[in-house]
Amino acid sequence: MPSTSEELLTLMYQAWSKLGQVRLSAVWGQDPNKVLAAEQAWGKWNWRAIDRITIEFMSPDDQTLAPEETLPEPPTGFEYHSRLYLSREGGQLRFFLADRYRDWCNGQESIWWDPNKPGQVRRERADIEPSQAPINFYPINEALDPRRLLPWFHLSSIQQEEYSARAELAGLSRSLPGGLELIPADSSLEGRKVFRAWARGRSPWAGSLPMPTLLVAGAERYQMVVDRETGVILKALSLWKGEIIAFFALSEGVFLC
Amino acid sequence: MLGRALHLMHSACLRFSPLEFELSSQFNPAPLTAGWDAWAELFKPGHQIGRVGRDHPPYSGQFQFWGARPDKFRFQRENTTWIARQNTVWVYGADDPVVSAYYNPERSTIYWLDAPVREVLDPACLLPDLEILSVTESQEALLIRAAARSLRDIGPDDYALLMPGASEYRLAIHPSRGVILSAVSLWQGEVMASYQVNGLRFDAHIPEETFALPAGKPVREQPLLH
Repeated sequence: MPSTSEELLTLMYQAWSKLGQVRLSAVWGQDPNKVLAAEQAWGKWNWRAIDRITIEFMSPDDQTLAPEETLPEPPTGFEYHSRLYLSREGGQLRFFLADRYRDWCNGQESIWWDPNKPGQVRRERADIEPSQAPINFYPINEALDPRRLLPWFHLSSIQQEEYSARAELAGLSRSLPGGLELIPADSSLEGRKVFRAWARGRSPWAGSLPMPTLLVAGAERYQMVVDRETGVILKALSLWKGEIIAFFALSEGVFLC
Repeated sequence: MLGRALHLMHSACLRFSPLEFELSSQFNPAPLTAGWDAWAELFKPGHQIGRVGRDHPPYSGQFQFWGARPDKFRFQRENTTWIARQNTVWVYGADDPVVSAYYNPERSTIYWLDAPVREVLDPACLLPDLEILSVTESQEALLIRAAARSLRDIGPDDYALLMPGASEYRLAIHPSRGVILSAVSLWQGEVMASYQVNGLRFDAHIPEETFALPAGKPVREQPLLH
């Protein structure tokens, strides 16, 4: 009889290979200043702070390279995105994040654009195999493919329960500084059987592995709610000095295995 | 059995204290090169093969490790010795007149270890890109057959014990502690590279002088090492 932790790790390890059709909406956010402080306290060099992130835009018409643009400075307040949408239908992944980036990925090519910058489209070859979640937005990638998170935590405790997205989002709204815009949650995630795991961050044993996004490296505690049918992460919190510094939660989700 | 293997590997680094072992390596040049070439073919032209590849061969030689967790390690590789305590490491060769001391406030002890030794102690790092195909049990070990999740996934800078381009990996892990006992990379059935842990002793009595600096050699502070 496998232990609960064995069952949880197996679910997270196998999630992406189980999923067929997916439709979801989620909310995700973090306090960039506290995330930065937590990562620095943890001791890993903060690549995000050192290297300015640059992206190249391509014109969709003539395909010539436009001058390189630099992403805006990170915001200073707690920011969150009220809508993340992903659908995996008809062999194509569609994803968009509020009104900022839109991302189409068909396995060979990933296409991003920002609706606020008409005419500028970023195309990049998708160095992606079907065996991993081909989504450029990492919270979604990691929620559907949580295997990537395994080196970053040690499990502390696990409970089995039934999930309510409505209750979780209402609780999140009460917990966050400034609250959270009321996110309508549909009934798709109500009553699903889940594991709610508490975990602590690991010492940086993971060496050169890329840092995860869903769990902030350097946070002291994590809470993860993992769906017992699919292994998908329905909710994740990173806590540092007793405060939530990053969160992710699905408001709706339909999974066909 | 998969769950047990995942659980052991995921939490292996919590289960040793103190311990010692040797790590040896063997390479087979023909399949090693063939595997690298196959792996390089997957990338767009001009992609640089990084640390592990033709230009930078994999970690080789004999490693010896003594650990008194959480903050005292000693390891030796060929003629060089590293003694690490928290965020400082002292390094000296058998013929060096001085001991070089490197300090980095952002590093903890484990960061000073060479990657193969770190991966032996913490195989959780290998899990994201490893597709486990089967787990069987022998008296001495859990035996894992695995492949890279895709050939692209295990890249040049990702891992030390696993060769990029391998078509199969075989790992043996300790049945109760989870540390890696051996790691073999194969290319089309032939061994590319093999790392083997020998003389593993858990709960070993390690004399304090194991972690002492050599007498009579002056210590020279070196610039911050990243």
